[in-house]
Amino acid sequence: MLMFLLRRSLVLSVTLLVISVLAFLIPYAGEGDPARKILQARVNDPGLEPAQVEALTRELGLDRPIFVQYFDWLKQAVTGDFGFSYTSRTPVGELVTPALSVSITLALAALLLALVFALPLGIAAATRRGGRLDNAITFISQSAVSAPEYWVGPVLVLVFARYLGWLPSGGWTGPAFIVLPAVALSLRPLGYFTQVTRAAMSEVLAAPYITAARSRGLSFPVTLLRHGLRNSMLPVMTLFSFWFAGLLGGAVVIEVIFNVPGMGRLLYTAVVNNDVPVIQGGLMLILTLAVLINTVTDLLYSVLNPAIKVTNA
Amino acid sequence: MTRILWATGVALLATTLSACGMNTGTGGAAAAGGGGHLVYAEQLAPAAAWAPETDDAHRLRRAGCLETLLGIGYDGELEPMLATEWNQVEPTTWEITLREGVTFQDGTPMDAEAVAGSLNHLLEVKTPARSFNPDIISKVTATDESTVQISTPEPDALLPLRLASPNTGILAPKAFEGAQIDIQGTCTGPFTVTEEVPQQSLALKANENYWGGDVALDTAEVRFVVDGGTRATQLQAGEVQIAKSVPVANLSSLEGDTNLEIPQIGLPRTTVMLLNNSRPPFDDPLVRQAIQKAIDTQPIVDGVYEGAGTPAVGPFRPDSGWAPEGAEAISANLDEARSLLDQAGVDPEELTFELQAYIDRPELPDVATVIQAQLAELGVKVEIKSGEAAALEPSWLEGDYDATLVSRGYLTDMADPGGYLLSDWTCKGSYNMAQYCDPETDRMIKEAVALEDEAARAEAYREIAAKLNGEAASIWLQHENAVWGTQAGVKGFQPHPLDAYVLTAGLSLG
Repeated sequence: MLMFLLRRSLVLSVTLLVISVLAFLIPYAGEGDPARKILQARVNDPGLEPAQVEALTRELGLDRPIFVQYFDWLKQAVTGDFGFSYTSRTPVGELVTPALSVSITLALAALLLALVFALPLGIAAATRRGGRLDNAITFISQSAVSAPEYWVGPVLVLVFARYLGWLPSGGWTGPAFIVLPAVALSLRPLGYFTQVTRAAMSEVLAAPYITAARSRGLSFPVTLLRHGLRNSMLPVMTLFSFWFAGLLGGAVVIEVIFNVPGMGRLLYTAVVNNDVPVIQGGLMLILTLAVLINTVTDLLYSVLNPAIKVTNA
Repeated sequence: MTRILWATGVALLATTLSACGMNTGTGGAAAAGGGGHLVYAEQLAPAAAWAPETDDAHRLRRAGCLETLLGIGYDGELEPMLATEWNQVEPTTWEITLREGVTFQDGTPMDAEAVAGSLNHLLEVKTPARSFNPDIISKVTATDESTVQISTPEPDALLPLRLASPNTGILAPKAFEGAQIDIQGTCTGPFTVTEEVPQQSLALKANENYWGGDVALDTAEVRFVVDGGTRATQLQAGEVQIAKSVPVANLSSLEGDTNLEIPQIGLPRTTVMLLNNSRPPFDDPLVRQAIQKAIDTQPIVDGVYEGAGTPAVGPFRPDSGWAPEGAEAISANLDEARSLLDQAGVDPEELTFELQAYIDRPELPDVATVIQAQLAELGVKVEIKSGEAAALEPSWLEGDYDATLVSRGYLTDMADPGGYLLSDWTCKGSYNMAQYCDPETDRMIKEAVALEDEAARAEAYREIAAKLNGEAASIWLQHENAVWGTQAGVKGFQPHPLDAYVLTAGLSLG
């Protein structure tokens, strides 16, 4: 276990270093002069004096060689200091922290919602393979997987906010505001979770230990809960962590439609404004979290199934 | 295991919920007393932490917090606001008399010292405002308790207009004490900011000591809603009472809703097809004029903008005072167009050019398609290239394009188009995208902006506008409208020609 942790830490450090290079460079991939775009974000008139653009380029040190900029940035980044937003001149941390907590809330709400429905659906489908129920559930899960968020979002708004008036259409000032974006975000993971649960459960149900458990006189529901569920949870958990990491910064469309001040919207605005430090800090944080979540999932594997040796993970 | 997963999930959710400071309210528009509570959906969240030299000042003014020394009336004329008099006592000195008895929202007096401090802050910032910066303003001094003197390096006839720009809004000394601008209690306007949720909203309450009289509403909220469709939906669902910039695409459904009013107002903004004057084919005025004669603007306004605009009569709106009198919108006359091309020695069938349209304004690619179809009737082939404005912009500045569609505002921070003419239509202008260079026009523009008399200046601008349009320096297509949306119960709201004011003392819920 100790060796495993050491090895993982080493891999983690190398991965983070690679990520830092990516996070640093990606904002420079866009077109247009960075200083110009920053100034245009501050004043909505594109007619800028060249002297003003040059002065800002110098002030922000954008005229230095890129590797010098990278090492300066990295030195600060390891202390958790990602500098100041170009457009608002506020520390990046002050912008990213609240946005990240919003995104974590939204992602968890969406994924838990997906699990609540996916587990029973997946199990039901697996226990009645090939039957009418299985077909219906496969149809539902396929539809959920194929429903694009940019379509589901507005439809939910139209029905529940506009016509029924039950829920607010956008914003983030109370629990009621989580419902619609969480439902919209939960559909695709719901579909995938259902499919994976069904597949894993089908495999487990065919395993000899299930027959053995049944022959010991255990009832079907008890066998399912005690032996089946636990063993079929591994792929679901992998998928859960994958989606969780992805949704932290990847819910841009939903965050914009529902006016949710999360990481996706923050990064979207930062990209539009060419707010390089915010893009870099935000990306670094999201990618680091993704890597950490992955590592934690690997560790949890051994808890779920001690037969999996951590050294091989 | 599922139990463990569940327990962990629920605990995490609870922790993050409390970490986001979520309350249990629904955040809707609940009446908070006699005057009630109004929610206004603004388009963009502040990008620069309320730095007054940036566009954030516009948002703070619309929120009813920030006020300027001079105001711009709904008729576009200057009017007294925090100052009651302004006189040019010497060619390079203006004397401003402050309104008596005005206090900031935190109770401190708005005296000459405070006003001078607020304006001098603008002269000290790293990237100053274009309307008020050290190049055009020497210093601001308080000469007595209620008088401020502003001196300029050159005589500046536009100074009163500068003092109506939101960038020169007056904030209390406390606003500038920290690393960032503090907007709570430091304004003079009818609404005091009580809470800011970053990127989300501003909570406001009526300023009981407002110099302009009683404020009808009790409280208000400004919400920053980026997506236009979401703003429209929130308006229809009754979650907001006033929405800014309703997208043209939502017009038909909103106009059919009897609970809503959709007022429109002409903006000082024109959609223009810029022609690159520096290289063939558009370095030849005859070719430019021929293209102008082949385009009909009414179908663009009706078809693409759903009527939310006016066919252009040149760079400036017909009602702006800067458009030549009797100027008419262009309409297609293919015979004349052919004859012009003939004079230029150009065969229309041989003429092909690329037309850029940026997707940041979703209507522009549609406009490009209409123009493509109209010019096809003449035999001219148009290839459309679309992309993001930021990606296309370098080619405009370098003059490496044929034609491009641009939506351009001609009054950005001052109610005078001189700055626009200088930057866009002089040889060395900083935003001369059309690569237009005519010494005569240069002279006319430079002389016009120096004229002190407003009427004479307007006359000079009319001549310049007529010259530019006559030469088809570019093809002005339509003057844009701002589309607002309000609930029918909202009283006292009127769209402002410069989008200057929304939450005002007189605004009420009827």
